[in-house]
Amino acid sequence: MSYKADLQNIPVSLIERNPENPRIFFRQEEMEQLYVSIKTKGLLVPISVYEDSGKYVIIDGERRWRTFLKLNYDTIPAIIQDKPSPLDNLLLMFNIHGLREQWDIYTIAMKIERVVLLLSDKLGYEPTEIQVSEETGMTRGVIRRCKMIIALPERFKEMLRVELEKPKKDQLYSEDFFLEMESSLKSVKNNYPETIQDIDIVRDVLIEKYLNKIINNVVDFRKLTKIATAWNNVGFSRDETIKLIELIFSKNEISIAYVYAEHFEVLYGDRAVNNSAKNFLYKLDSVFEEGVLDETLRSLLSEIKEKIDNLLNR
Amino acid sequence: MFNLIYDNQLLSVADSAKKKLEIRHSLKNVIVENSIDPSIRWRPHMHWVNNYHIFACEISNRPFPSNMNEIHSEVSNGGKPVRIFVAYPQNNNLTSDELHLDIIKAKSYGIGLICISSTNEGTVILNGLPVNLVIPQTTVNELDKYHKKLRPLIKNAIETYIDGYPKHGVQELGQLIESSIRHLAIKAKKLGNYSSGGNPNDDTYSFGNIVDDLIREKIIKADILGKCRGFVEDRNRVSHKPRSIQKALEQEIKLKEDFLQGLRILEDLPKKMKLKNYTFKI
Repeated sequence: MSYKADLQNIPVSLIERNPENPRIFFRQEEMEQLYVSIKTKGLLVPISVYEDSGKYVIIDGERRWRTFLKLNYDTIPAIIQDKPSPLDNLLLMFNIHGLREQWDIYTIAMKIERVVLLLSDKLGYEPTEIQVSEETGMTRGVIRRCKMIIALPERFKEMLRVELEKPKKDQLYSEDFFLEMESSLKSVKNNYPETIQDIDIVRDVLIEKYLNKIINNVVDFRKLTKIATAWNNVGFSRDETIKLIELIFSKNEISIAYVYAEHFEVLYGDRAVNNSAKNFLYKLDSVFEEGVLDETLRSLLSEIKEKIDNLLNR
Repeated sequence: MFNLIYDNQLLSVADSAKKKLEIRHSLKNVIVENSIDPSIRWRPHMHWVNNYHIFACEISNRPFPSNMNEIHSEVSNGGKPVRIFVAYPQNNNLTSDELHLDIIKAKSYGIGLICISSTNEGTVILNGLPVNLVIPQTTVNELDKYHKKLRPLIKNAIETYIDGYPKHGVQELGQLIESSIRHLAIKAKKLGNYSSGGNPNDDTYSFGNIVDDLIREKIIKADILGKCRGFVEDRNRVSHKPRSIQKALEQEIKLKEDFLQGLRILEDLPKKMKLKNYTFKI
């Protein structure tokens, strides 16, 4: 893509928002802060627009333009670029905004679908994750997270949208909550599909438990993943796991953290020590063929030997 | 209608605030997200213009948005008779301390507050004042400088003023001045310090005549007595409805000056009396 760019003061009234702008949340508090910033320090970065039928369409700087309206200015400094193609228009904004600001995953997700559609038209086939990543400047991890949000039923997307409109500090749950929950539910579904008759009911229960602080932290869902893979990883009984997962998925006071601590923590602890011990042995074999020369290390190894002897002789 | 500058979440708050303000102040022909005046660097969410004031309403998640300080200073310097309101949702995620602090700040800036419930009912929390009538915060905080008998009464007058009834606030100060001067005259007469003039105990004997008597008899310094008379005469003049926005603006500036002058008089009067060994009485 190539374009020329001119800096001009253009009438605020001739500017239109870009319908492709992925940004859908203009949090009031942030807008109020931007008002103060621009009023006291001025506009530090011009907005970017392209000209279209006597109007200017924003590529970058919708919040600044809105603030200029709020500040009752007649004109705003703007870089005027050539009119891009619909795909370039969208990608340009992804590259300008997405790399510079911490966008909500939801915001990106809602436009990634359109990027895929436009790229498919251009390429003649559905783009790979790598291609979408390269074109948008988003990492593959972000693209995968977007897909997870896109796959949510509309009802949950709406719940998330309502929360995201609030200032960060007031949000009851975030995208991270849904991403962690969905990731763990995927593990449960793969390993114990019989525990999920209706996934939306399970989601509702987990959301309620989170709002009631029974699930304290979004990363607790990683423990649910560990529970769902305990049969493979630590040989925990499948039947018992099903019962425990069903308890977690029921309306009660039982938390993921509690189930994990009571039944799985020790097993995973043993497994961690086991793995560490294997690595340690491997290192000892491969690194110290000529014996241990370093005195400090010798002393440390003696201490470990003593502890192991004590443990084994109990 | 309300979707250019603001986020959609506050649209129902804006709609309810519009209804509330239009009914309460008999306003019509709302202007949305537009300029009050080219020189004022603020476009309120909505505003109305009637014969006396520009009513401007900002919609926010809280009673005292983070840009309100800047907005208020912008409007104050704009030289227009603007009344600023903020409408905010009752369900606002502020702690009770944060909410309380916001309301106190709004009050000190003369901002009118309208709280919108989840059922879209509007409740007026603060009446607010036109920006030209807002008095400095120091005025409210410096009660200690007044005679102790005056402090609760002055506090009341200030509350009346900033609660949206500035004329009544000025009247309360006027009554305090009149009462103190009348008591001074009664005391002076009782002590035999002046014999000419009318009877200050007689309610029909005018305040102006009492002041004239006190000046003539040099009971206390003439300058403070002159100020007292000027204040009471001014107070009686500022009671006609303005015929234009410009007249309303002039009246407001005068009203605020009168109120501050009344406070200055009440700060000085007891001291001047004490210099002549008169006990201050209201």
